[in-house]
Parts: sequence; structure tokens; C-alpha cells
Amino acid sequence: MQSGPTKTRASLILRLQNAGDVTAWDEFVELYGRVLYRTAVGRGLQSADAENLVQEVLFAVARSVSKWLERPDRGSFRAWLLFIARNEAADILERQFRRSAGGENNLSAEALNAVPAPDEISHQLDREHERVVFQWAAEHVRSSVAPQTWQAFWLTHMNGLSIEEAAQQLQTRTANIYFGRSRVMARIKDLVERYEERS
Amino acid sequence: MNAKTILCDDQRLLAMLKSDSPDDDQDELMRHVEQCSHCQRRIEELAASPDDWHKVNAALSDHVSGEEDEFTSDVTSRYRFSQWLTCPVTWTESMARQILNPPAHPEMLGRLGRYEVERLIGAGGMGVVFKAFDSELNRPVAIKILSPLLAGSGSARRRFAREARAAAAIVHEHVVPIHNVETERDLPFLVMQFVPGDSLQSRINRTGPMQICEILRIGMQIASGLSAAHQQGLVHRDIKPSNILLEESVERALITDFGLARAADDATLTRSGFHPGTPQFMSPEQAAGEQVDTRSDLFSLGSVLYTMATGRPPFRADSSLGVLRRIADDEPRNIREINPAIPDWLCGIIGRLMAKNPTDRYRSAADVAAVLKQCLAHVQQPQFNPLPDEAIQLQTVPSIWCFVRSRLRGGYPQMSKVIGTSLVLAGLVAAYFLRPSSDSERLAALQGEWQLVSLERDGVAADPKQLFNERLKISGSKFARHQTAPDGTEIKAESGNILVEAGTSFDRIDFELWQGTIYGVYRLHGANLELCLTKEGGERPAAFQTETGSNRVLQTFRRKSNPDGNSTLAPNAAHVDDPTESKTNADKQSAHEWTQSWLEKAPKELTNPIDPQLAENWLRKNGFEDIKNAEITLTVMNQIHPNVSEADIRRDGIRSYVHGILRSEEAEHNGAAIEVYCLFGEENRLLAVHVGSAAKPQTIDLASGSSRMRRLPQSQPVFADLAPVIACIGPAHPVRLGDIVSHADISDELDQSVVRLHVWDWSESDISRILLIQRSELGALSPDGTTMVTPGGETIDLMTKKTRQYSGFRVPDGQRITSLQISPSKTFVAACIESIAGAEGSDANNKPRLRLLKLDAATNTGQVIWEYSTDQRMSAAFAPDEQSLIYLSEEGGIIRRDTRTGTILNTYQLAISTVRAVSLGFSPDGRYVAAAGGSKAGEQNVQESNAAEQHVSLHVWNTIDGRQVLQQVAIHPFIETNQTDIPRILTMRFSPDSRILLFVSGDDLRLLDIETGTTIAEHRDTTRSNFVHADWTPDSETISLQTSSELLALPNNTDAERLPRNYQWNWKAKQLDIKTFAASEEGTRRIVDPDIESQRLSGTWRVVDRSLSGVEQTAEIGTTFQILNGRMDEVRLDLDPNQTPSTVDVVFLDGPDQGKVLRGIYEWISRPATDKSSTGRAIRICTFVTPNLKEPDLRPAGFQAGKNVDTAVWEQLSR
Repeated sequence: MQSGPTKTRASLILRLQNAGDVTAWDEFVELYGRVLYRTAVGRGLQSADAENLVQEVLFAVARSVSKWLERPDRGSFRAWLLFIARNEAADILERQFRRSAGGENNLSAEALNAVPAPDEISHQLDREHERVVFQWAAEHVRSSVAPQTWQAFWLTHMNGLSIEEAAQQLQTRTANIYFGRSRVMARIKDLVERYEERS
Repeated sequence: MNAKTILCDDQRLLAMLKSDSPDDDQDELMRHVEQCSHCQRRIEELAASPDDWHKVNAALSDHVSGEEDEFTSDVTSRYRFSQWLTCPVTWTESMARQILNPPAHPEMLGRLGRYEVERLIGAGGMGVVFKAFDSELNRPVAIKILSPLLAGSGSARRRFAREARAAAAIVHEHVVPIHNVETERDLPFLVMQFVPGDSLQSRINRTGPMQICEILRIGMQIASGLSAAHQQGLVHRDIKPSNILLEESVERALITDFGLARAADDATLTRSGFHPGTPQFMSPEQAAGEQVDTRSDLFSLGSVLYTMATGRPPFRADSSLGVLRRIADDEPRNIREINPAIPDWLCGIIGRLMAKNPTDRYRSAADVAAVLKQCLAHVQQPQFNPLPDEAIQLQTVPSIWCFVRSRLRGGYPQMSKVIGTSLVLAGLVAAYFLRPSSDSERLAALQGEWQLVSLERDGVAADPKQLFNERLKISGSKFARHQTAPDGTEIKAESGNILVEAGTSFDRIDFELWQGTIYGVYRLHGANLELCLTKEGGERPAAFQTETGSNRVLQTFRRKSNPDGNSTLAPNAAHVDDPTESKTNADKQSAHEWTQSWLEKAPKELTNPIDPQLAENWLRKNGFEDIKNAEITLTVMNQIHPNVSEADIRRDGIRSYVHGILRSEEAEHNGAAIEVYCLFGEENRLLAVHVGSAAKPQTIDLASGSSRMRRLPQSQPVFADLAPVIACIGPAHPVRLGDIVSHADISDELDQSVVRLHVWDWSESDISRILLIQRSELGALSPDGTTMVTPGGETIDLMTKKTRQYSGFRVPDGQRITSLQISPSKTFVAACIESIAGAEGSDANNKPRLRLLKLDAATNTGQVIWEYSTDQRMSAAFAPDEQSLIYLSEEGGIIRRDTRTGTILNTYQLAISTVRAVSLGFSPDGRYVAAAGGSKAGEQNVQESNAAEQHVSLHVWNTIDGRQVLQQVAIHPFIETNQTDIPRILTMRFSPDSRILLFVSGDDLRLLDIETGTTIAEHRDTTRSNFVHADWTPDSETISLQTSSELLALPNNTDAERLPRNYQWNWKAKQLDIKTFAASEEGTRRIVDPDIESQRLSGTWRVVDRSLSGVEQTAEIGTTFQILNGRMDEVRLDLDPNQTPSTVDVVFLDGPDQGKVLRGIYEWISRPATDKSSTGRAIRICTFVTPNLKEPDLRPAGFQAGKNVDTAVWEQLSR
């Protein structure tokens, strides 16, 4: 029921400057929030810490996206996001250390060392981003095609059914399966492409 | 072979991929594909690369397996962001579940042996504390579990065990007893007595600096408990407010958490240089890592007393190291600068406790306990109990002050105790603080006192100004008084360069400012305070009076220059009216009651001095930095609202102003007649609902606490069948439903796809009406308000509060629903379907179509009854009898069709062809159809149209004979709308009796008599923001109007006494005179006729983040502002164009956040040039970051959590 993904990424970021733009922020959160979360969890942060991290990053983005946009040399959005995320992660860990001031010394050292280098998580971030974008595109496509079309795709590509099995299950001809699944795929890919940022 | 070659055509395959569902005429191709493996491959390849296929698989398989992915893909994930604002995960509780055995009862967290663990109480460095229940002895206990993170560490376990032993060895009424300890298990824990009540820290957070008696009592008890520990040879090492529990209702303080305690002779832990414990309350020797002994605890005790006295710890810095350094090197800020109420001798005691050198401190905790005990006795009964010698010697100010103060309390001066210097004051000055009383004896005594005072200090005549300043600063007096000298002359006191003349009225405090200027008057949030800044110099202004009577000066600040040229702000004194004062007969009763309730409810607030820092911030923010000598006065405004008592709209220490009121018709509840009044504060926040008779109002406040309900400007208030439930929410908040009678929160979270929901439910048992507007406006409500129809993912769904049904009507591929309406019986749904551009199955030439569906709830299916093309912007409405429905035809006219057959019954033409209908509606009796149209902002062609003007037209036709009965056109300036907001320019509402049509368009408001077609009344109101909504009460006698920032109730009579006079409006007269208001009764709004050049609109400026309590300020005179859209984070300030503030500070002056400063970031938004009423630019507050100028990186935890700010957590966050 979401409106079509007709916005480009650039304009979404621009809209983020307005904290009251609920649509844009929700979209942003849905995508990047998820990406960040998964990346954080993938790096070993506990679920709740990862949530905190995402929240902090989102706040940081909210605060400074306008300034970032003004910079002529700003680079890619994701790189900037990564930069923020690392800072926030370091802060969170440091805060935890301080809060548990009665804790062991070596615990904190470990924790601080746990903040990974930019390259490592950059890749992870990209991977997660890609994954999430695909998921999102898939959801969009799913809600905009006939169920049978979607099932053609899902049964064959995800559930591993053969074309014939799928055709039988869906009570349609195999040609419909061939076309249907590829149709879905094409649309997913199309959405993903439209959604990727260009900067 | 030939056939195959021809058919293996990429182009055709591609075409098929892009098109809609396969059609039968492609049969040939299909058959080919089924047999041609080449084509089968090609189809795949054309769709996407193998890499992409693989990626999709990877991405989705993850997704499907439900692997730990906190983000769900449906709309609930949208609200994650905001959910984070409201409820962060408490990791230790989930941890607890992991480490505990499953509980016996489902509500419990877990089980630990014989203890049922109930909930988390707190988490500290070494462990977490839970409340639990001892199932053997059947009593509540507190269990401290060693943090599992540390359980693996041997030294941590040893320390834990040591703590247990140490604490268990102490048996004292002021030490929390240990019941049991288990150290051998995987997870060591100890069991203590459960002490119900707050920690000292949370008490201070809540109420700020404490009373002297309390400080002494608690201090004495802590000292006494400490002495028991010390006698056992134990040093606590971690005395701090969060380790002091205050047992509720028995006034007992208990020391807990001997986590770092160790025997004085045990040296194993100190050598590593590792500093356990919270730094802020450490002693210097602890901070330095040196040997500590029992005197270190005394230092910490001193720090705790300091904190109790001032509301904050003595040493603060950005980092732990910074704190430690300060402890070692610096002296804490003078207590009396922060809280002048603290007597000198107490400062001295605290000072001695906090001596850097341990030998300079008291010898033992027992000594301290004894001293504090004597002091307490003195404070409680000064005439019988002298201050201990000890304390007197510590005084730095001559005790004549004590003399004066104790005199005021009715005690007798201990002349024999006046030692050393004597200081006396001009009678003028003393008299400033004294109010005459009918008690002639007292008066005589005061007169006598005058004679005693003269300007002398150390035997030398002192500067009266300086003395006055001192007097003001350190008087600690709680009483604001003024006096007439016996011969009737006015008392004047001179303070710095401001001469204050005390007025002679007993009803209110009039400060006439001589040689001063009123720089600004600000109304402050919540506590109904008014801040007045006066500047020295300038001409004498008129007496500074406030609108309503019974104002009380709460506190004054004085800004004075320092020798180095800077100026600092210091509180002058805290003034509070003596409730026993007599007032004039007329309002004596009510004023007294009001004062009583005020004092009863919040005595702390009155005596709580406001942090000068916030006044500083305020000055700085308003550009008054370079004012060297100024005075800021905080005055409490009397706020009375009819039918609502002071207490009713105070919750959590935050008081709200009532801006609007909605009155229901007479109603019944449980057979009794009741009335219901709904009171709205700012932002249409629901403050209170009065249910009951005026004599015995019964109230509920759903605006505080967790619900924070408010009604958005874009929703409709409706009085339905009466019932004791009321609810409303805003975006990103779940629905909260409150039961009026039980005051319970009975909410049930509705589907998250409902963004804005406003529910007024008056039915007895269940929600009978749900009104809502979805963000995308794709939802529609059945006329009875119980069912919502909404486009779901693939189908159209029906929703009631409890259920969600799928209609079985699927939205075709490539199509989407742009609009929905549901019929009164909920059987029919009119859906406007539109092609999605670029999607499969779309056709650029396809017009939007109106489909009428018949829903069969039993089988969950929907059938299309008929379908016709319609206008791009679909509007539709069902007749009340459901027989017909009207909609906008593609030619721009209105068509009325029979519901069941689709036959056209009528067509209506709009007079102006360029105007498109925006709203359609039937009158309640079905006799009339109304269409209101205008050029809709947001439409693509709006740029081309005359941007300065919009044409709006209204038509009403009679459905029976088809004639047009009414036509009106309005023109008003273009209203800028935010692209993400749905423009709500037009609202029209038939009165329930179908006689009057209320028509609101922007700021133009009209009442039209339908029968005659005449305008009953009209009003053009540019002083307010847009009228975004309007509605009738069922009796057709009252209209409620919503602007984007307030709600007005307009009754059709002039003698509705119960409503604030300002909002009365008699529409029987043609011209409405909403023009000029006096100040509204609560004193917060002053609206003047915009035509009068010299006066400007003043109102309230609100900057709030949805997670924080609201803060309100009144702009200074000369600043015009409006509240935009009712949104809480958006205000519009007309400022000097040359000024470009980049931040705004929001200051909490009340409530638990008192003294905290938040800073927001501005963003400029443009403003239409045609708006003549302002000359400046508009700003929008984007977000809140880095509050508190002193500690720039602080952010209250509540900012994340959506709760009230927790100061303890705040400070932990500081860096």
C-alpha cells in the first residue's frame, strides 16, 4: 500500500532535512535503519545495543544532514553514514564502560577495541544495504502483482519447486510460471536500480 | 524449426515481461515457451542477471527464515524509530530472563531458587538489583545478582562475597539488612530486605533541593548508619545518593550497596590504581587512589548533603577524569549561591565534611550524627534548642540574620548567641519583606525591629545598596511582603540601580519599577509563571501588573556586574505569599483556597529556587547578555478555569493551560444525567475531561503520563453516544484509550497502519465510534464511525477496533486505490482506482475509475457492482439512506447514481469550471447535496494558477427536485502548504438538523442557512491559523472549530457562563466579533484585532519534541508568531530579518526537568510574499540536540526514551 518507489535516493536525503517529513523519515528508517542494525549485529553488538546505535545514528543524521548536504566535497551518503555509525558505536561503548565503572578494566579495553576499522564495516554495510534494498523492493513488488504471479516467483526461486510443480500447485500453465517469475524478478531489479543512489 | 526461430524473439519475450498478466491471445507464444528451453533461459536472462537472481535469493531467504531480524517489513517497522523514542530496550531485564529459571507465574521475570524474581529495580557497576519474592518466608526481598558479565571473574566474585559479608555484619536501623547470600553458584547473589521507596537520588531528581529539616534528618541517619559500619571496621567507599534508600512513609534513610566496602585492613584492591565506584562522590584521597579510611566516607557524606541542599552534585565535569581532578583540586560552588535557603551553619558543616585534608574533617561519623541531630532539634524548635556551638562557629555571616529569620518564624532571638559582628539594616530594607498583619502585636514587633536596624557592619557604615543586595541574596526568606510605614508612606527599597517601590495593595504584588524598563514579559510553561525582565535605566514604566489578580512573585534574579566586567546572575530571593495572609473579602475565600491547594500540592516548587543558569540562558538567548544590571522576576499567575480546579490539570508537576473546551450535550451514564466537558490545552492536547455535574466534577487527565494524548488538527471531534472512554493519539503514537470512570488506561494498540486516530467513544461497553484519518488519506470511515475501510496490501480491508477483515476485493495489478468511501450500512464501498504509472498493466490513458463494491462479510468477498470513470481527484459520498452516492465526474460535474444499479439519478453542474470539487456531502436528512470546491494546493498546476489567490466555491443542491439552492464563492490568499501535509482548505459541515451549513475555507468562516440561502454569519479571521476543521454538536447549538493550534467552542448563545467569555460567539448577529479578545482567562493568550497596527498578535510559542514534555513561552511584546499546523515542532517567529538565530533554547521551568535547557536547531522555511502580517522569516525547529549550555553534549535520557527526563541517567550520559 505504499506509494510507488518513485523517489530517487537523492531527493529522499534532501527530504531528511525536514524532521517533520514523516514519510521520508519512515522510508529512510525502514531501509537504512535496518541496514545499520544488521551491520551492527553482524559486528557483534547485542540486539539492544544495536538498536541504540541505530537510534543514535539516526539522530545524528537528523541533526547534521543539512550541513552535510552543504558540503561540496561530501562524498557518498553511505560513507557519511558509516562515519557517523562508527563514531556513535565508539561513544556507546565508551558510555557503557563509564556506566559500569565498577567493571573490570580489561572489559572496557576489549569493548573499545571492538569498534572495527572503517573498511571492514564498509563492506558489511554495503552488503547489508544491498540485502535490505532487495528485500524492500521485493515487498513492493509483491504488493503490486497478482498473487499468482508472485507465487510463481516464490515457489520456483525461493522454495525450489520445479516449474512443473509450481504450475501444478498454482493450477496454471507452465508458460505463466516462466513469465511470472521473471516478471517479478525484472520488477524487483528495476526497483532496486531506481533506488540505488547515484552519488 | 522455422516456427521456433521466429518465435524465439527477444522483443516479444521482453514485451511479455513488461506487460500485464498473460492474455490468452498470446497462446501461441506461450506454447512455444513451454517447449523452448532457449526461450525459457532468455526470459530469465532478460529479467535480470544471474548475479541479481542470486542476490534476491540471498536477500529473501534471510528474510523468510525469520532469522533474527528486528525489522519487519510491513508497516510496523515504520514506527520503529518512534518506538525507540518511547521505549528503549532494557537489556538487563531480558538478560535476567536468560539467566533465571522460568518463573512460576507468568508475570514474573524468573526464578532463582526459592525466590520469584519480579522486576528490575536498578543496575549498578557490579550487579543488578531485582525485586523478588521469597516464597518460603512469604515476603518481598531485593536480590542483587552479580552481573553475569563479571561472574566469570574471580576477583569480582570475591569482591561480591566480601560485600555480602561486610554488609551482613552490620545491624543498624539505617543500614539495609542482608538476609541471605549465595556465593558458590554460577551466579552469586545476595538477598536483602526490600525497602519500598525512592533512592535519595531519585527523590532529588524529582523534587530538587530539599528542605533543611530533611537534609538534617537524612544526613543524621546516614551518619548514624555509617558509624555502625565504621565501628565494624568497614569503610563503605561508595556513599552516594543512589545508595541511600528512603523508606516511604516512615522517614527512614537506609544505606545500601556495600559493594565496594572492605575492611579497613584489607589491602588487596587498592594497588591497581583502579577506581571503583562513581567518581562524583568520592573523596580526594579515593580519587587519588590513596589509602582510604572511614573519613573518606565522611567526605562522601558531605557531598551527599551538598547534593541534597543544592539539587546537584558538588563536582561535575565532562568526564570521569575531570570529576576526579575537580574533587582533588577545586572547591565546590558556594551552596548559598545555588540555594540561598540553606543557612550558613549548615554550609559550614558540609564544608567541614568536605575538607580536602581528612584531618580537617569531623573525627567520626558518630560526631557528625550528633551535630546534625542537635541542628535538627534547633531548626524544629529554635526557641528551645540552640544551635550547637560547633555549628555557630562555622557561620560566616553574622547571626543577626538568624535573628531576623527566627523572628519571622515566631521564635525569639537568642541575643546571647549573637557573637562578633552585628549587622543591622535600614528599616526600609527589612520592611520590604514584611507584610503588615492584622496582628497588632506583630506589627509592633516589626516596628520595633525597624528601629533596631541601621546601616552598620563591622562598626562601619555600609553601602546600603550592597547590603540590600546581600540581604536579597542570602535572606532565604520565603515571604514576599511589602509594607506601609505606620504613617502611610510607601516603602522604598533600593537595590543596585533599580529602585523598587512596594505598592500598598494587599491583593497583589505590584512592583513599580522606577528607573527600569520592562524588557519583556514571558509566560512560562506549566507552572503558570511569568517572567519579567527589567532593565535599568530608561523611563519609568507603568506599573507592572498582571492580568488576573492574586499573582505572587516567586523568585527574582539579579544580574550584576563583577569587577572583571562580566556579569553574573544570582537568585535574589524566593518569595511566596504567606497563605495565612488576609486578602480582600471578595476573593479571600477563593484566593485562599487556591493558594492552599497550590501550597499543598507543590510546596516544593514554591521554595525551589530556579537555577540561575537557566535564567542566564534565557538572557543570553534573548540577546540580553550585555545588560549589566537587570532583574528577572518570576511571578506566579493565577490560573482559574471554570469547572476545573487547579489540581485537575496539574499532573507530574506540569500544569497546562486550557485553551479550549468542548461541551457535550446532556448525556446519561449509568442512568444519571451528566455533562461532559473536554478541556484542551495547547496543540489540542486533551487535558482533562470533566464528567459529572458542576458540583461534583470528576476528572481524568489523559494528557500526562504515558498516554500523552492529543488530538490532531486534522481529526474530527464528534460527540457520539456517551460513554466513559476517551482517547486520542498522534502520529507515531499508539492509540491510548482511557476509561473515564476508572481512569485506567484501557488501550489496545490498533493496527500500526493507522497513523492518526482520534477516538471519542462514549459508549458504555466498547468503542462505538472510530474516527480516523490515515496519513495517506486512503482510509475512510463509515458514518457511524465504527468501521474503517482501508487499502491493505492486496485487498481492501475493513477494520473495526477489534477485527480486521479482508474484503476479498483485490486491487488489480498495476492499479492502486486512491480513495475510498464506505456506506452507512458498511455494505458498499466506493473505491477509486488508478493506474500506477510505469507499472505493469498500466495504461497512461487510463482514467481513474470509480468502482462500487458490495462486500459480503460472511464470505469475505467483494463484488464489483459497477464502475465508471471519474475525475482525477476522486471525491465521493454516500447518501445517508445509502440509496445513492455522489461523486465527481470526469467532466468536473457531480453525478448522483443509484447505489445498486449505477443508474444516474442526477447531475449537478458546478458554476465555475476551473474549480474542482474537493468535498462532497449529503445533509443528514438526505435532502441536500453540497459540494465545496477550490483549486487544491499541491496540484501540479497550482503554480500556473494565480498563486496569490484561490477561488473557492460552495454549491448546495436539493436532491429531491434537483435545484441549486445555494452558491457561494470565496476568495482568499493562497495558503502555503507543506508538501507532506494534506491540504485541508475546505471543510463543510451540515448541522445535524440539516438547516445550517458551516463552511470553512482557510480563514473564512461562514454559516449559511440552507433553506433561504442566506449567510447567517461570516467571519474572516486572519489572527489565527487556518481553520482546518469544524463540527457541530448533536444539538446543532455549538460549533467546534479547530485551527491548527487551538480548538474553539462556539456556542450559539451569549450567556453560556461556563465557557470562557472570550470564546463566546453569537452568530445570530451577522458580524461576528471574534476580533478582539482580552487576555484569555488563563492569562496565556492575548489576541488583538489584527487591524490595529500598534498591537500585534501574541500567543504562545511552543517548541516540543514529541518525546518531551511541552514547554511554552510567551514571546516578548513586539514579536509576532503563530503556531503552524499544530505541529509540535514547528513554530513561526517573525524576527528581524537581520537576525539569524541558529539555535533556540527551550528551558524547562517546571517539573522534573526543571532547570534543564534544551537546544534546538532552526531551519528557515520560506514564507509567501503575500502574507502582509509579518515582516520576518519563518523558522522551523528541526530537532533537539545538545541541551544545556553548560554541558554541551548532554542529552536527557528521556529524549531517547520518551519518558520524563531522568536526571541520574542524564548525568551518566555526560561526557
